[in-house]
Amino acid sequence: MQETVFVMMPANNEYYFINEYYFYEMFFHALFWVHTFHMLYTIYMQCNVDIFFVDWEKPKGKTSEVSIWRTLMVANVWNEMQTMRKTSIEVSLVGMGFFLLGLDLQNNATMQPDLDDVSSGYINIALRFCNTAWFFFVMFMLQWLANFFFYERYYKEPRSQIFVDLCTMAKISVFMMDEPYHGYYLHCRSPYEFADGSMQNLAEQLKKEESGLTTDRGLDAAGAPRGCQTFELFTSPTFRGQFDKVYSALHQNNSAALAQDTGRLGHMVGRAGGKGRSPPPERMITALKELNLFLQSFVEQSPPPQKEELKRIVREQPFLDQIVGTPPADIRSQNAKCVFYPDQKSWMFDHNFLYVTFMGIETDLVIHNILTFNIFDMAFSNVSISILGTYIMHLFFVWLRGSFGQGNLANKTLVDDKFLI
Amino acid sequence: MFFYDMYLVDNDLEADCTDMEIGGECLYPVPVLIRNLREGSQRPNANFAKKEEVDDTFARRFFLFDNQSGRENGELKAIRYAKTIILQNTIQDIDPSKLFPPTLMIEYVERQASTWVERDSDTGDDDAKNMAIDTILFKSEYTMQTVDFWDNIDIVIGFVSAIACVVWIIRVRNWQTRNQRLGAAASPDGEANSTMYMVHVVMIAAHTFVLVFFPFVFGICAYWFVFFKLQVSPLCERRMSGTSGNN
Repeated sequence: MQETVFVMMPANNEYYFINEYYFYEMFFHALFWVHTFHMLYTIYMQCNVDIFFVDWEKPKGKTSEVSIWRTLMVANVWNEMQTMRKTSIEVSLVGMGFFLLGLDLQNNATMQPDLDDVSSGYINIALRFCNTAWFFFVMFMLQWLANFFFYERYYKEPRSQIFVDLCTMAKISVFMMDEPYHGYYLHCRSPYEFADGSMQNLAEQLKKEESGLTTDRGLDAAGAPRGCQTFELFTSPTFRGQFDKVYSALHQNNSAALAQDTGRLGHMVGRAGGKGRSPPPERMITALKELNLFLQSFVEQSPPPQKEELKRIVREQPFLDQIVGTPPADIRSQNAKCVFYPDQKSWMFDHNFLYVTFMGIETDLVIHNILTFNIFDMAFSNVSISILGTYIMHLFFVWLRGSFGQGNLANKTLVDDKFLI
Repeated sequence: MFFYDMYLVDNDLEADCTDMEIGGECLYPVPVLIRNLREGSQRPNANFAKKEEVDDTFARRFFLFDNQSGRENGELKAIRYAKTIILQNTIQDIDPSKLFPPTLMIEYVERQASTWVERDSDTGDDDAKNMAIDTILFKSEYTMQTVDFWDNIDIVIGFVSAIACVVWIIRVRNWQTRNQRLGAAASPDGEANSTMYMVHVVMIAAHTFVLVFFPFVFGICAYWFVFFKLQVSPLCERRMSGTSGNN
């Protein structure tokens, strides 16, 4: 690009105790380890999200019960979604192998200034980090562009949309609390009379909706955009207290009780292992119904709540607050209402509720992949080992998130592990 | 054994040339830096860090091996040889397309005759056998002074850290606003709250550190990559002919 000499690489003076390249080594290690701890913490937090499926189906005919199978179906799909990623790590790593090994571009990082010359030589760690991070970034961007311009545009819906649509067909809303007073709500109360029906019923309902004979799918509330089904929640302590009163009966205290009931310690640690667990006792099923009713009345605001704190307001998040991530200002005041912010997908950002899955933290995962790749490069100076090591690290994270996430889901929704296939 | 003096042939050197003119050529003596030079009990050339280079002592003459000074009553007790030889060429700060005169850096090692073993002998001492033949290193290195670079990096690190701090404070504040409520007697986490609070604040700091410093480190590496690897340099084509040794 430039015609005259501009820079030379700093000399790697092995004689010096404080070498110039220690700066890079120090930062590579610091970034990798700090990020690994943060990722483990994030996975831990994601695996402890309070989740609840609200079933809107009304009893049909003579029976007073509704089928659980729609809940099982939604829980199953959610379980699979927890460890999905926006870009495929396999594709990225094969791409790395192609560029770095196949085209021998790993030798871009040699200490000579001619980029066209890829004969092997002494590899400089600063140049290597730039080289690998660049090709990772290229693979990431290629997949993102392919998703954006082709796959999710002409071939398939984005995953979050598919999930919301499925929940709507099943008439099951999803309620998630990732922090004590913060969470997400997917309003999936479809305008159909019954979700549990024959193929014919389903087709008729869809046709009706297509011709505009039904109400909107979105939440019917003042301030909510038309058709908006996904919301970010900022709740009041009163709401959380009411929620916890029933919810804790459902999952928290019962783990010890269940372990006592069944003699299996698996319940104590939240993971029941491969053998499944015993069916939930009667009191938990009652609690489940109670919570279902409580959340339904909260969302519908019917009957109108007596307490101010159990009322909800829906409003758009101001633009500046979206950038800075500021929560609504009034939620800390006395007797504040619960605030619903519409959580809509834009061309660049997916729904925020994905933050409780791997799909929401894709950037962090990609950065972690790059840093892992680089750490293996530093340890072994071999691209094949780095690719393998990065993949094993990825599998470890997926295993961690998958198994503990599944245990959490089973624990908190009473859907047995056996159904989460 | 031979002693060598290394000169740079420089025909463009017009002034001050007369006293060094040999055979019609202008010669510039190449300074030799002997890493393990001793002056009394001092080792001026053993540097802990870059800034200790100020007291480096340069020489003019060097040898590749010395089998004479280690003799006692005519019997060879020890030899010395140059294990590492680096010819370092540094580009000039003001006009990077020009080079400073090169420096020859040498590290000598010493071996005692009593530890020698023939490579194909049958003593069974593998360590000694492996040391029968030593590998020596010669490299020609092109580099630059990086004092200005690191001065700039120091400033940028300060700037980036300030950004990281601001982002961290904003994120902690957002998180607090989300999760601390008036009128809530105890938080849902109960007793674990204060520990979890600290852990969470630290984890937000960790995440912010990565989000801010990952692009920063990538930026520095990209600076080297772009300006070093993407330069069409006349120097690399003339690499071997740029300097020539004389003995």
